Amino acid sequence: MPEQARNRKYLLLAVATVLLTLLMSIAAKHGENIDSTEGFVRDVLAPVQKVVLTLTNKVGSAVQSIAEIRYLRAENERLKSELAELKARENVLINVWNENVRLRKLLDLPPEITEFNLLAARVVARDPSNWYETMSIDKGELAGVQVGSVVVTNVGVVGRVNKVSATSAEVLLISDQRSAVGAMGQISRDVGVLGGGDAYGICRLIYLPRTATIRTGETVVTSGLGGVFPKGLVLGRVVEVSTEDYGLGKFARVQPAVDLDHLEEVLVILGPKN
Amino acid sequence: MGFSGKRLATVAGSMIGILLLQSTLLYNVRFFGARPDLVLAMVGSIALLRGWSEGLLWGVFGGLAQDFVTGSIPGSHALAKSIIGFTLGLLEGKVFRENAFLPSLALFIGALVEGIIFFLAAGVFGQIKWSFVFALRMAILPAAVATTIFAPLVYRLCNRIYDPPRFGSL
Repeated sequence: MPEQARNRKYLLLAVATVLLTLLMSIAAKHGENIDSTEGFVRDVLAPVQKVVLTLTNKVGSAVQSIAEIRYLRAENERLKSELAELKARENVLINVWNENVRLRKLLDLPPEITEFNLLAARVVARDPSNWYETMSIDKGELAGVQVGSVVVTNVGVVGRVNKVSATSAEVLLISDQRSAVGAMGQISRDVGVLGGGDAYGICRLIYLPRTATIRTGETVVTSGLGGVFPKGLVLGRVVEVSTEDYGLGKFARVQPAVDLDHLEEVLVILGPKN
Repeated sequence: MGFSGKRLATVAGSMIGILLLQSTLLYNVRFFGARPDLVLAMVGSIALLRGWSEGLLWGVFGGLAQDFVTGSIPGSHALAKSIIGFTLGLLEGKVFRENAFLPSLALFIGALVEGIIFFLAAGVFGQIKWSFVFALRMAILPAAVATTIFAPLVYRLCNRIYDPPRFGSL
């Protein structure tokens, strides 16, 4: 190969490397604000991703229905008897619910999820890489979503909005290695920071004092420290407590309360109701 | 060589399609706990089939598309994939099109190196909190294996795009 052609080849690679590094550096400085190009790409792709997901779900359920048709008759009978039982249970639940609302008012518990303005959003895509745990939702700035908005389900915390464009947003899940949530044991009240990236889908509660009494099975909730996550939201359950290297403190492995791998709809906290 | 508009559109469309599939219905497809990087498999395959210039071009394109669709810092996947596209492109003509083993081996090594470059590039900008050994165990090595499993399939798809079968000819 002639010397000139070889030089040109490596020059092109060098130019591409420099330009991409420059892009990364600019993006890192901009932080959580999506630049116009990225926002445009996201806004264009979000509806396409939504359609792909919808089609997949519909085709999947149709195929499943055909496959299960012979079981449907027997299932129909079983469901009829279950329905009667469930109606009876529903009445009990309504009573318990009303009682719960009354007791909450009576006990003046700290603000919970029902005291916030919530926005329902659909998960339209997930980060396919093995590095990060993020997902895209189909609501953005136009619907009132902001960077830092907390995302939850009825079970617990999902994460917080990391980037937002007009009609979509990226949510950093609590299991992402870059996530840090002020957290504490619900019973022990030991305070730490819940971070992701410990193992597949498992979080790590760090900075626990050596005297921490947190135990396996204990529920971990948000501590409210840091000001991003409201206090008292469920994060997960402790599956293991260990001592840090050199015995300076403790850490706990926490299984998130929400099944982060199978999320379809989420709620975005827009702010307090009042 | 040369870039025809139709072929550019086909490859770009295929790459975007693969990325969309990966971020939606194939999201939970894992091998050894890791998700395959089909965009990398495609970039690597194109590089092996077409040389360094197309490897570099599609590495930048596929990487940027991945950066914009996912939660990565823009440019990080593009940098890693363009370097791998370029490097694997230098092997053009040295691997047999009909033999699936050598391209798979090249793509496995390429995926390993791509993971390391991504770790360094994203790490410099504070986007990676893992230690290198942890990242190697959790992401780089399993992803390389998972990607290699899909490599022959993607390689054949690319071969078909660039060299479609001609029916009726001897």
